[in-house]
Order: sequence, then C-alpha cells, then structure tokens
Amino acid sequence: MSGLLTPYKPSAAPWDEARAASFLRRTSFCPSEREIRDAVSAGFGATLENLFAKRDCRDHNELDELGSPLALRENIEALRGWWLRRLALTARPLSGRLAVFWHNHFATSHVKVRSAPMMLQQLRTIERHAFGPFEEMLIAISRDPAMIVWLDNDDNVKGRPNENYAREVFELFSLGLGAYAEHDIREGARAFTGWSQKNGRYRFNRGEHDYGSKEVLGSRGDFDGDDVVRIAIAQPACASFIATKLLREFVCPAPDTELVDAVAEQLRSSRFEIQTTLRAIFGSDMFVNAPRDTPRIKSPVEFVIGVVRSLEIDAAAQQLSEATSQMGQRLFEPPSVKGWDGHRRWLNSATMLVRLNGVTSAVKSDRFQPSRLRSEYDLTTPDAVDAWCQRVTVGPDTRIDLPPAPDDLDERMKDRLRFLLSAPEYQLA
Amino acid sequence: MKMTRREFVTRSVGGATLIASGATLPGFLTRTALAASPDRDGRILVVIQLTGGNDGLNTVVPYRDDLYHRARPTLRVTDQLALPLEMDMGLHPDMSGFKRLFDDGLLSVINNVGYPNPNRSHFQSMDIWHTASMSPETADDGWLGRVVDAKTTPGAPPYALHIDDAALPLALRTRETPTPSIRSVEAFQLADENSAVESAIAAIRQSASDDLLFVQRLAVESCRNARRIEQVANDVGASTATYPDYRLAARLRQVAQLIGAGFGPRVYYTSIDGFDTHAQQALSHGTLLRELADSVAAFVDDLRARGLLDRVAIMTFSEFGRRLNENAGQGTDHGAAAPMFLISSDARPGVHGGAPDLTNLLDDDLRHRVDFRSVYAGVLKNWLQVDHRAVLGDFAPMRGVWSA
Amino acid sequence: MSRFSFRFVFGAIPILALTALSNAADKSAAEYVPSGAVAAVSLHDGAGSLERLKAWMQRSGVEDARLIQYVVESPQYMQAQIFAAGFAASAKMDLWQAASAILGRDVTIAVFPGSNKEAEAMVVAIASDSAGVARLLEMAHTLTGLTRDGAPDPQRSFKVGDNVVYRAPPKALHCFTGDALIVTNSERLMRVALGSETKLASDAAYRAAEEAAPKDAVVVGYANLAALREIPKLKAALEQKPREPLPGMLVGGWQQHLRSADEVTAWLAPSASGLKLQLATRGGADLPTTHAGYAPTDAVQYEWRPDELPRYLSQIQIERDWGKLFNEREALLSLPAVGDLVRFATNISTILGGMDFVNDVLGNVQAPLRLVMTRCDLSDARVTPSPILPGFALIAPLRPDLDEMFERKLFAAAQSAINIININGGQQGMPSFLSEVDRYRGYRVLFSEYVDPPGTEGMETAAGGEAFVSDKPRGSLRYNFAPCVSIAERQLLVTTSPQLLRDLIDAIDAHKSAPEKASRPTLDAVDLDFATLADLLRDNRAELVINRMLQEARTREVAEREIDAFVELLRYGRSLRVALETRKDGLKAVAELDFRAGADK
Repeated sequence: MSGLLTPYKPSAAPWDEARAASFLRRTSFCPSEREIRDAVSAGFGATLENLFAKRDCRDHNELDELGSPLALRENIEALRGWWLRRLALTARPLSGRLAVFWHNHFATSHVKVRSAPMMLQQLRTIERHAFGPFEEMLIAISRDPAMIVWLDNDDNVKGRPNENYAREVFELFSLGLGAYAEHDIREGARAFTGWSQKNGRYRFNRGEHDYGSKEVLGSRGDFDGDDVVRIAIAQPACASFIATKLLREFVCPAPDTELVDAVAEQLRSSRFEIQTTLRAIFGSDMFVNAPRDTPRIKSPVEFVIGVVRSLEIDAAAQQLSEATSQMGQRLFEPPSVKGWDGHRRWLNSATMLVRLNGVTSAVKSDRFQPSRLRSEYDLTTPDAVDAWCQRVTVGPDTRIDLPPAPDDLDERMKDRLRFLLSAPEYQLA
Repeated sequence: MKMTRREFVTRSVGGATLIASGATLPGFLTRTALAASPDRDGRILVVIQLTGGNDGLNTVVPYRDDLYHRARPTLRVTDQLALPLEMDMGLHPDMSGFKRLFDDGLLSVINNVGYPNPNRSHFQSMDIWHTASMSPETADDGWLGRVVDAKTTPGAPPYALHIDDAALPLALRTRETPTPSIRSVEAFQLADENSAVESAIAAIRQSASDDLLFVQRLAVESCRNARRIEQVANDVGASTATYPDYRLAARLRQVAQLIGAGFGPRVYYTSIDGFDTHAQQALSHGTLLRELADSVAAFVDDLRARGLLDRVAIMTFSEFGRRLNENAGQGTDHGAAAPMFLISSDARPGVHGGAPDLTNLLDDDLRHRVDFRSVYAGVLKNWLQVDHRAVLGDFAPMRGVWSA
Repeated sequence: MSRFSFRFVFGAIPILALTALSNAADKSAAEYVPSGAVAAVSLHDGAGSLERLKAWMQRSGVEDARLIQYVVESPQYMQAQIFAAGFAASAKMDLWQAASAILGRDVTIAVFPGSNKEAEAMVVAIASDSAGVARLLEMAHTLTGLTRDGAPDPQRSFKVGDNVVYRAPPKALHCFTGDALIVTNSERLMRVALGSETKLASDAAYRAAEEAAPKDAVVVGYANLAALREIPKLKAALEQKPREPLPGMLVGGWQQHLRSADEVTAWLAPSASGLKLQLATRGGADLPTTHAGYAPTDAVQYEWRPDELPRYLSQIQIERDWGKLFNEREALLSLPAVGDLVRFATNISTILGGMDFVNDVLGNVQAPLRLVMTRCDLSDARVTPSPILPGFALIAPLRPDLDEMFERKLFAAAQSAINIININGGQQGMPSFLSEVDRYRGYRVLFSEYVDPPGTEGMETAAGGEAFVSDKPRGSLRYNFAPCVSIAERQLLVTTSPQLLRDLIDAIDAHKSAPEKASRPTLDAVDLDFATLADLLRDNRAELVINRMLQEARTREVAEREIDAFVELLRYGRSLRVALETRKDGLKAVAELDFRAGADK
C-alpha cells in the first residue's frame, strides 16, 4: 500500500473525542453526542468496521418500505422528502452519503424521466451497488430504465446510433474528458444499441442491436454494452477518475496527484471495490489526522441532515425537502447530467441566508428539545452545555471564541447552537 | 398552461433563493482573493414578459387604417379614443401611463417584431423568444442565460434575478450558474435579529484557509444585505413614488428598492400574464394594459426620484401578436408580429419599424419586419455592452434605436 | 421554586380548586367587571355544564376513545396532573371536581380598549367555595413569598379598601374579595372593579345580550363593534378591499355589515343532541346597492335534499347574484382582484369555446350555488386514486326562461372544455378523457372517463411492488376527477364522477319538480356528516399513515394507532351545520354540532 495511505495507529495519536467527531463528520453526517461517545468507547477499529458493516444501503425498515407506495403516487417531492427522512434516521449514515454521491455521479433528473417509480428504481439500483464493485454498478446503471430515458438510449438503434449515453459513460461516468476519442464514442454507441426500456422495465431489443465488430479504446471485437463498460474500467484513466471523485466527496475538493494516484492504485488492486478503497482511505493516518481546517464545503444535504442528526431533531420529511431545495440541491432533479458541481458553488449570499435562517428556525422549533438532551447527556452546568454544543457542531478541536450567553441552561444551549451553526467553520466539513 | 420543456427548465434551475451583492468589503477581509466585484453604477435591464400573446394591433393602434376598423367591428379602438404617438399610430386608451412616458421622450415602440415562419403555439413561440433560436429544442440555455454564464464568476453575485410568482423562464436558463428566482424581496430577510451572532461571524480568525475566508465573507455579506434590504424596505422616505395596487407594480417597486440598495444583478425579469384573449377581449385587455402602463410609469417615476433613471432600461415583449380579424367570441386568435416597448433615456423615442401593413398579410397575420434578435442584439451591445455575437450569433443590432 | 412552577401556580390559580360548597353571595361576575368593555364572555353555571359534559362522556363512551386515552396517558398531561393533583389533594378533590369548581358559579372575561397599545383584560370568577379558595390562595402566597408571616409583602401588594391586591403573575394583578377572584393586567381596572363605579352588569348592551340568549345558555358573549372599529388594525382590516376575487365575493357582504353594525351578541347552549352556537349583529345600515349581489332576491329552494344521496358527506351552499357582483367588481374588490377576476372570466370563456362566461353562464344562473360532496364507491373503478377524494358536484339553478338552445350551447362548451383539458394534459404526459353524450332517466348527460393509463403495471414493478393494501393498480390524485355535465329539472349539474351525476339525477328525478322561489333571508351554509368523513378517512388510511410516518411517527404501529384514534373520535360526532343568514338588518350565524348518544363503531 502506498505510503500516503499508511494506516492510522491510535497509539501514535489517540482516538479521542476530537478525532472521533471529526472522523464521523467526514465519513457520515454531523454526529450526535451518542454517536461520538459510542465511537470513542468502541475504539477506532470497531468504528471503522461499523461503517462498512453491511454492504446493503437499505435499512429495510418500515420507513424504507414506504418508497414504493410513495413513488406510485407520482409525487416526486414526497419521494424526495422520504429519502431525506431516511437519511436523517438511518443507522448507517455512510451508506446514505454514498447513495447521494452516486446519485450525483449518475445525475439523472426526474424532470425528463417524468416517472417517480423509475427514479426510485434507479435509487434502489444505486443502493445495491454503492459499495462496489464499480463494474457491477456501471453495468446495472446501463440497463436502468430511468438512465435509458434520460440519455436517450431508447433512440439508440442499429444504423442510427444515438451517442448520448456512450459519450456520458466515458466522459462523466468512467473516464473523464480527454481520455477517449470521438471514434470511441461512435463505436461505443453501437454497442449499446437496442438497450431500451418499456414501462419502466429494461428491454433488450434484439432487432435494433448492432452485432457488428467495433473498435473501442484500442480493442476490437463484437462488443455489447457490458464489454464496453469493462474496457472502459480497464483504462488507467478510470481509476484516477473515480479516485478523484471519491476524494472530492470525502477528503478535499482539489486532491493532489499523489493522493489520487495512491487511491487509484487501491482501486485497481481491489478491482474497483469501493468499500475496500474507502476503508483504506478512512483508515489512513492522513485521513484521521486531517487538519481541522479541511476545506470542503458541505452540500445542502450534508448540512441539513447534519443539523437534524446532531441536534436529534425529529424533522418532517417535507421540511427537509424544502430546506435542501432552497439551498440549491433538489434530490432527483440535478441541474444537468454533470450533476451538482458543489464546493464553493453551493454558496452565495442568498443560499447562505437560507442556511442561516434555516439554522435559526431549527433551533427555535419545538422539535428541538434542549431539556431532553440535557437530561440524556447529563449536561447540568454551563460548561457542560458549551462543550456539548461545540462537540456536535464544529468539533471540540476548533478554536472559536464564544460570545456571552445566558445562564439559563436551555436558553444557553439554544444561543450557543445558533451561533455555532451560523459560524463559517460549520459550513466546512 | 405548462409544457414538459418549460417544467424542465423550471425544475432544474428554479426554486432556489439566491442573490448576492458584490460590494466592496471591509478592510479586514482583504486577505481573501476577491471575485470581481461588479460595478455599482453599471447599467440595468428590466425585462417584462407579456405572457399569452399580446394583441399588438390594439396596443399600438393604426387608428387611421380603414382595414383595421373593418376587421374589428367590436374590438377596434377609434381614433377619438386612441392616445396619439406618431405616424398615425396611437396607444390603447388605457395606457395613459405610457403616453406620459412618450411625452417625456422615454418611450420607444418597435413595431412589427417577429421572426420568419411564425409559430403560433404558446410554448414553442415563447421558447423561440427565450432561446433566440429557431429550433429551441436543441438549445441548452436561454439568451439571457448565456449572458449570465459569460459574466458570472464563482462567489460573485448573480448577474440576473427573476422576481415573479411564475416559474423561472427558459430565457434565464444557464449552463453553469443557476439564476435566482424569488417571489418577493422578503426572501432576503434574516430571521434572527441577534446581531451578536453577526459580529461574531465577522470576527477575525487567526489562521483561516481561503475557503474559510470565502465562507466568512459570504456570511457577512448575507447579513449585511439582509439588513440593507430591511432598511430600504422600511425607509418610506427614500422613495416618494406611489405605486398603484397592482401585482406588477409591487414587484417593480421591489426591483427599484433592490437597485437603489446597490444590489448586484444587472438583469431583472418579471412577467404579467393573461394576454391570451380568445374571447371577450374587451373585458380584460384594457385592464391588463392599464396594469402594465401604470405600473411601469410608477416604476420610472420612482427611478427618477432616486436618480437611477439613466441606469435602467425596460423592455417588454410577448410570444406573438394576434390576428387582424376578431373572432366570433369577440376576441382574437394567435397571430404573428407585434410591437415591443423600450423605455430608456438612451433609446431614441418614437415608433420604429414602421406602421403595420394590413394589406400584405401572411396567412392572415402581420408580417414581421424586424427580427426580434436584432432588438436583443441592440439591447446587449448598446445598452448592456456585452458581446451580442456570442449570445445570438450573427445578428446585427437594429439600427436607429439606440443613440450610443 | 423554579420559575416554571411559579408561573404554573399562578396560571393555575383560576384553574385551581374552588371547592363545591355553596356560598351565600349572589353577585354575578359581571357585577364586578367595570362597564365599558368592548367585548365580554360569560360562562354561567360552569359547574353544571361540566356535570352535563361528564355525564355525556360516560354515556357515550367517548372517554374510552383511544384519542382521549392517549391524551390522558401522555407525559405532558401526567405532569400537569401531578401538579394540579397536588393542589387538588389539599382540598380533597379529584380533577373533575377541581375543574368544576374552577368554573364555579359564574365567570366573566372582558376586554377593554387600552390606552397605550396594550389591551386591558379582566377575568372575574365567582367562587362556589370561598373558604376553599381562600385556603389555596394562602398556600400559594406563602410558597411564593407574597405573604410573609401571614402578612402581605408590602412591596408586591397594596390595599384597596378592605381588599388586598397582589402584583402577580408578572404584568398582572389578582385579588380575592372573599367572593370573587379577580385577575387583570390593569391597575385602573382593578380599582374600578373593587370600587363602586358602574359595572358591566348595568351596561344596556350587555343586559340585552344576556336577555337575547336562551335560558339554558352556557356561554354568553357580546362585542361592541363600534368601539372595536376604533382599533386601527381592525378598522384597516375591515376597510380594506379584498385582494382575491373569490374570498371577496364570498365575504364582502359580511364585511360590509360589520363596517356599520353596532354590536354582535353570541350564546352557546346545549341542544337536544349537541351544542348550538349563535351570533347575531345588531344595528347598522342596510347593504348599499353596489352590494346587492350579496343578498339576492331571486334565490330558490329545492325539494330534494343532499342527504338523500348515498354516501353523502357534505354540502356548501352560497347564495349570491354572481352576475351583479361581477358587474360591480370595481367597487367591491381591490385592483389586483379585479384583474384576476377578469382574467378568470376570459379564460373560462376561452375554455368553453367562446361561450360568454359572464353573460351566458353567470347571467343565467340563480342563487344558490351548491357544492355537494359524497364519498365515492370505488369497487368498480379501474384505478384507485391516491389519495381518494370525495366526488364533487356543483349545482346551480337556471333561470326559468332559458331555451333549448342554451342546453346545446352548454354541452358544446363542455366538450370544448374537455378537449382543451386533454390537449393540455397530453403535453404533461397525462392520460386523456373520453367523453360521450348519453341520456339518463331522459335527461341529456355528458359522461367522461379516463382512457386506460398506460404502463401502470410496469411502474409497479419498477417501484418494487411492495406494501400494497389493495390488489388494484393505484394511480395519482388525478384519477379522482372525470368531469360530467347535465341539466335536470332546470338545474345545472357539473360533477367529478359519473356515479355522482347519476345519484344526483336520481334524487332530483324522484321529486321531479323544479326549484321554487325561497322566501327567507339569504342563506349561506356548510353541512358535514361525520360518519361519512370518518369513512373517507378510513379509505385513505394507508395514505394518512404514510404521511404520519414521514412527519413524525417513527414506526408504522405508532402512526396507525394515531390515525385510527383520530378517525374513531370522529365517530362520536354526528353532524355539523354552520349557517349564515344575511338579513336586511344584519347578520346571523348559527353553528350546530350534534353528537351521537352512544358510540356507533
């Protein structure tokens, strides 16, 4: 394993509250006090393993099962709210983050697909393959009816190939710009001909498929879509591309080449097992001991879900949906196939205002229960309250000057939270 | 009445409440690499869309033309009632507000505006106007969206602002930066009156990364903007203009407030709906024109009082005009060419594009003499001073409209 | 004591035990309240009312209702109960007795115009057990330090005559005269109450209100509208022209009456099977001619009644001369509302294929307009909509002098409308309607139904096909609506379901007579049947449970319990009727709520 990803050793730098909180913040959502304490007492190893406990992203509880009836109502807002509520309540927040990550990667929008059940189906596919191997994910997505509609692959027929899907497979899903030629797209499109859908079901249209020989990315053969996927993944550019994406999501917006190479190597050697790669990243010394000033700006979903999870607010689905939409991230409706650019583009002084106002209303709402929290975590003094507030927001290791606050403990908690959640530090993960 | 395409645009871009001001920052934040702060005294374009297909012939009336009177026995505007402009044309009697602007030398009428092979479907024709493309299905963005993309840098204030109850129009659709769409300026209020939080946000950090400073700057700006908006909203004394009680007037008042407060956007976009007068046109058309004229006149008065009039140009358009002949329901059906209004101290007042030629119709509709893209080109080049070719392709600005 | 319990104690005092021993003094609460109140509400014989309520709850079994159980078992209630029980126990009572004593013999709440922005209010409760109250107050005063060593704290109290007034809770004062407990936020009012100035009881208006109420009225109220209109905010609200056309055309007449009426009196009394609430205005000018549309003179009365319809749910009846209102729109509505109304009229005209909405439709219908809702029987439906809405029907009487031509025009317009809906819907990927003209019981009818929605099956699989209640395909909200039109016995019928149209025609045909002229004041009314409402909610149980789970409930079980409990509670009601009469000399509003004698599950 590359030197950059040497595993973290608790003996060298102890696994304390600060590290645990920071770790959880970056691998899942902003953690609650309960999660921090459990992580500290369980130790680093167990906490790391716990993130990957089950490959299945779905919680398989009652809330999860509401997806189907909701989708059939053809109400995408309700489905969005449902997904967000699942994220708020899930026991496996890393799976939640990954599902949103892949959703952004394959950026399919309901606005064109116009079918909530198909969008749900794509989400389920994503959740099935989120932890890898990536090859299976890409093969499954190529057959996903929503994707077929979104990138016009049902218009892709023998003799009149539609290159949209092939182009995006190379440009956006596996290789990135410049790692292929127009010729590869043309030939690649032929491989996907006949891959269509009817009424939300994948249908292989034999008559429309081009069985001929094709030359794609230097290989020649009677390729079909699956073959093209495998060829693409075998390209060196693919590992770097996926590595960069993972690093942008979990580490920093502009990872340097060495780090990308190290992760790419990890991907290759694990045959693109996302789980293994993430374990290597998260378990590395570099990651656990990252400086507090990690420059990654939280997406609206991370921000909102982080607030409700760490403050243990039982938020209604609709409010979660409205909040994230107003902050510029409407799940199921990315602005284009490139997805959300993220990082600084999430913020300008209006979305900032939405975040600030959102935080105020969250703390003021009656779903936030300071007394319950104080009794559960035994926060009986002003200092205890302050410390808790800091732990569940910006983290205990952040130096930040707190303004004066009232003595009444409930009011103090609210005040502190309003301040900390509005602080610029909180916007960074 | 919506269409897939329209919904596509609105859903993918609209909904977010985004705006920023890029004003200069207090000294202590100078460490941050500043995005280009827009020129506070730059020129502003206000676009008012008349949705539904405005009946141009009853708006700018050729009241001496016999053919006009014969074609519209019940709907015609007589020469006694028309408010005279020039060249034997006059305004609908309910547009006294515009007549006043004309008398003040601020109103330009561009007549007979359209495009070849007129499309009489609301959605398709509107898309054509919005994308400035004859095949709008292939266009990814709107004409104003292209300007926005060209002029926006990350973190900087949005170049355009859509302020309306309706969904974000295709015209403002961009490839990169979403255009903010709000219903009213209240979207910018700060909920928490706790100024201690604000000053704490602004406090200097000892060692801050660029990103932290970026966030801090924005947080400070948001709060400052919100305060300024509140001030402007509550400061009744700043504007002596009285606006009529129309919805369009309320929105224009807010635009005036935003401009007066020194906000970033260079383009403001709003609309007034209801012009699809297939039946009983006499009932509603006058009311709509009155709302338009009175609201815009009040807006102009407000700008004048604030000393901003020379910085703002207003443009109106509609997706098509209406037929010469009235129909059996005392209304008119979808047509083709129609007038646009331009209100600016920099535009040459009067009627451009000539009188409508009622003898030379195309499929019983007015032929266009001015391509709308040349009007756009003029607005872009001569008023906003941006590269019109990058947005519209090879369309020369219409001559004689702008003085510069 | 922590701040919470301090506040609670004083908040609870008027709510605390005044034991049920009888007392000599016969003064009513209004004999303490100063005169000049702008509004006052009196509760007479609160104890007796509570007794009756308790008896009904036991008889009907509602106290066993699940929702009541939840409330009683909830932690908040328990906490409150513990506090209150503490005090009640010292007076040796249970909470029922405590509540019953709160309300005592007579309670009056009155509001006065404040001098500086804050309204002044006073509550007077006549104790039925003076000794008990005195004891409790003493205890509370000692605990909170208002009395030290038996003597009132001079810093937080003062004397008026023989009475001691305490400054507590914050911003308020209270005093117990040995007979009446007086709480107020104004020192001036307190002094007047304890003094000998004129009291509310001698106010002519108050007395008139009391006299107007029936003998067994439980609550009596009155408000001096003339004085209330002095309050700038209220005045502005009344003067402002409505900003939306439909509300403007609904409430404009009432608003007009309230602008000039002198006062409004109200009372609440038990009825044979429930409760009846009545409000009436007195005095004021007649409606001006511009407002003539709010009180049409040509209203008709029907022989058939909506509750003859199977699965009848509710009816809303509005009597307006829409034509007259439309013509006077500039006088009645604000500018934006006028614009909206005009736009609406032209749009409808367009949809109706050029039929002039104002002259041909508004001009030809008479009052009243009725909106009837029934629960649909979906056993034959091909697609179950989600959520399931009731069927809606709009019924309007047509002028007697209309000719056959009108019927043809109307059907043509209806078909034009359906075509436009189809074109519009088609562009949004919605399935279209198929419409056909037929005859039912001899009347010409236009039915429409959805063309089979494509591909629902595939979508079910796509969605995972899980968690289904019914085996029928479920579709979205729009499958609730299939427009149908007819004219029967001079009544225009527009419904959202063919089934409802048939049921309506059955009912009308059974009486087989056209509506007759009504001779009564203008009547607007809303009627609701609780049993059908409960059934409708039960139809939507799956939906409601899902919503609840998305809102709050962590598990399906909890959500189901909550929904079932709510629906069950509805079954204890029978019907609700709210009627508003616009008379020449004012308004009268009556609300009647009927309960079931026992629980019919």
